[in-house]
Amino acid sequence: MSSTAPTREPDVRRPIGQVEVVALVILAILVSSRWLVPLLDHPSLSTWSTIFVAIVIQSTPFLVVGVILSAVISALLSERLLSRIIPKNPALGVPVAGVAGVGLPGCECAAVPIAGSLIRRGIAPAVALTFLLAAPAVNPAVIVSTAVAFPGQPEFVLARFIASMLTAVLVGWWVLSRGARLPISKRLRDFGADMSKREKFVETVRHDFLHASGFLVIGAMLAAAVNTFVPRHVVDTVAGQAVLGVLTLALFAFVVALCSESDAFVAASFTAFSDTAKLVFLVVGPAMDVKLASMEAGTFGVPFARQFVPVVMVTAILSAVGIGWWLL
Amino acid sequence: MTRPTQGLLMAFLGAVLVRLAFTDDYLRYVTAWMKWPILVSGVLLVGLAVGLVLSGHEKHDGHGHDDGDDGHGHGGIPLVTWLLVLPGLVTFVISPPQLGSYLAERRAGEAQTVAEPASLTDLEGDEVVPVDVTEFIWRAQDGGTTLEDQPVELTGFVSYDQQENWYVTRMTIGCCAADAISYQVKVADADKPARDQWVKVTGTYETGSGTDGTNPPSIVATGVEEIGAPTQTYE
Repeated sequence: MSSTAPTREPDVRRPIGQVEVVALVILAILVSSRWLVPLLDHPSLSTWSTIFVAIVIQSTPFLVVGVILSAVISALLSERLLSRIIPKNPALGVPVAGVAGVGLPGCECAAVPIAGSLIRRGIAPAVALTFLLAAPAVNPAVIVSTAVAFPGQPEFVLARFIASMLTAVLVGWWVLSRGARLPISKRLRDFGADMSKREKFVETVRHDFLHASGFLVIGAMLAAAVNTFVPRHVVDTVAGQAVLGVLTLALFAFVVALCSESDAFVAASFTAFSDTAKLVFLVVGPAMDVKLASMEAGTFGVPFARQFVPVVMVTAILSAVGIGWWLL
Repeated sequence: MTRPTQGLLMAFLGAVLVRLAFTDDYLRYVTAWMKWPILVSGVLLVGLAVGLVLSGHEKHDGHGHDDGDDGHGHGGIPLVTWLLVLPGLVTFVISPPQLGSYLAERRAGEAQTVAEPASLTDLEGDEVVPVDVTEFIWRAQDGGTTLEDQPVELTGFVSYDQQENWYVTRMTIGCCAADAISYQVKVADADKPARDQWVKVTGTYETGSGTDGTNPPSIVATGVEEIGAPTQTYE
């Protein structure tokens, strides 16, 4: 936020304000839905909208939790407590943040605002971003669901854990080495220095929710379209080729944006692919997908996302291939 | 975007969540345990929206710090935040149904991988036993011997294929409808009901079908009863 905020036009002068327009549109939708519904009855459209609404309402509770935790971190945690939790040396803080990810059993949507507020509180971006990458991938819920989806293959669970942790830590060190050259949105730096605790809490919630939720909706729209319109057997045609199989499942993990607690079941259904390719799907998915990339662009800025997203993708693919070759 | 508009968008999304949780419509999209998280986050969103609008009025001519600026959008909120109205709009206008034959038929031919059910149905005796579609498929892939000569009842919706066959079909979801996997059991010796019609099929397993895990197993039907869709359509 800049110190000289653009002056808003006073709402009172306008005959019809934004609020009234939005309220009217919502009302019109509610009233007209009875006549509109039969027109929009095509099965592909209703399948798309089912998946779209499903992703949004599955993610929103996690986003709300993330936003509230982020507001707690921003407004309520004392400097002393924060400095005691996080190691002074960021190079050491990176692996610690990776391990701390085990403790947040949430989906990736919760991790984005939390990482944002950690950076806002002066935590090294490398540490916060390592947490962002690790939390959705290595928490107990993910470990359990992976074990259920791959019965009798405990090495799969281990490989997923190690490869995800490796990805998070390596990217964390990369962020550290880039230092100030990484264009993280300045907005995160100076936020509400002159506010009371209560104000700051409300403002953080408002700011974080509104900056992430619209991008979540975009991600959900794209992911629902891929889920509905791209038949999975298209993906299967390249299953036999090692390199192409790995790249295809990595790309597929990016575009379908499944939540990390259930993607193992989908991975298990790619029976035609090699185990390494399935592992790539499981390591890329929680670290980076279309929904996350979109939310990260909203929270940390587009220039940052343009560098961060490809680096995470490449690191995740290489880690998974390396670990898969070693363990599977 | 003005502060009250921001509040309205948040409250609308919150209200949609609360409504979905109350009407059991949420079961079309996510698993049953999500009811409380959805309800609570919906209530929280409405509450936060109210708090946001109120605190904006308190310091109306305050220090201007309620306008975070990020260089795009007005008043610091990105333009894409308008999309927040979309989930509610889609929910009310299209009222998306539970996933059905459209997706199942597009996904037909994929391997139907089934994990061993946590508890198996007791299949002793001559009476008709209701069995989950996924358990039926798992037993078939397990060699099919436990299903032989056992009359069973399968519940699911109807999907077709390009030939003249039809299937009693069930979807499973792990998290939300995005990760749905469809399971089909081919029904032999019975007339085709309409697509997406929910049916109870009684019959016996066709020995040797569906053991390879790629082709669906078959049931030789002795009776097909049309029923209404259950509240929980996913297994």
